[in-house]
Amino acid sequence: MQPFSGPERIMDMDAAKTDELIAKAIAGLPYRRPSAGFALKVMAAVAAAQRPVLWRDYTLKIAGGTVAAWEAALCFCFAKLAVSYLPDMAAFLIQPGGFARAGRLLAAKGALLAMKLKASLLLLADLASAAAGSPAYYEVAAAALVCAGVVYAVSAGKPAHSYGYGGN
Amino acid sequence: MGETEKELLDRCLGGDTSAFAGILELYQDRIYSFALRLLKDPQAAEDAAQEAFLKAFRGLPSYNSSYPFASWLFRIAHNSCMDALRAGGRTVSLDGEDFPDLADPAVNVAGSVADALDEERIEALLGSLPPIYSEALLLQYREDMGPAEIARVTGVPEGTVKARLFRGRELIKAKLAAADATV
Repeated sequence: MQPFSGPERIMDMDAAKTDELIAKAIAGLPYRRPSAGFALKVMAAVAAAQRPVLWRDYTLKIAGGTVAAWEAALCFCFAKLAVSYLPDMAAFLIQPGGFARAGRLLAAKGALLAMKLKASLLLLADLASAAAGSPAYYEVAAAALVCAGVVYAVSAGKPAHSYGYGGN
Repeated sequence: MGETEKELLDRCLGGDTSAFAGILELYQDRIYSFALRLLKDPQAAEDAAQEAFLKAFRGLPSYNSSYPFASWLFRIAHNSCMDALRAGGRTVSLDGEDFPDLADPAVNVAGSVADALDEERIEALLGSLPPIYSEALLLQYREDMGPAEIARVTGVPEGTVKARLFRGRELIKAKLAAADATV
């Protein structure tokens, strides 16, 4: 038996024809044009959207330049220091076993620096944990305000000269 | 000879903002017409189209060139239009597909369709459909996109797109049949 026969088949053909006509009608719809200033408005918005990027680039360039200048100054100072100590260092190095001693000195300095760094990190960790347990800033501010009020209330009845320096 | 879309996109991605004017010239009528037919208000359509172009410009570095630029741009325009519809208090059914009354299949509308479907009539019929249906029909027939591409634009599964296309066509037929019956 065929899937569609008689009136059903005719209906199916009609439906297909209608679909085709709808498709053609929609495909034939013209494009509308926006108002005359539309493109200018969009390009102005695009230009405005770019401005923060330019500003950010400019700021980053300035920050980069500042860091580079600072590093150059540090290098210059370090180089000057190194040059000024060069005769002493040369004298130290030309002694027998000088390189080994310099190595040991550098290792000792490195170990000291590592210890200091570790101690600093521990201190920072302690400070961070202490800060976590401390009251919130508004609680501290409220307590300070209450204390100031109590001090003012207590001192309000006293003669002012009692608190002055150089009194009799 | 004008620059191709790819050349313009390459220039835009290279930092040449002026090339975006070319992209705008290529697509402004299509995007504006699409928005106008969904929002049915010239000012709202211009606003949505402008927002779409601006978002496209900002998001250009994220555009995947393995997909057509048109569908990417239409997806942004679709989102702008849906936002505008929601802001305007229109309910946009995005998941629960409501199934409006369909045409009685016994009614033969094909005979009258050829005469009835002039530009003004089909514009009015599309305008009377819920946006999800008119959008699917416009993207398929006016923008020549397939269901898979429409699914990418509208962010719904391909099966849903096919259902929307079917329902959209059936709704148009129902309205044509109803108009015939009143004559």
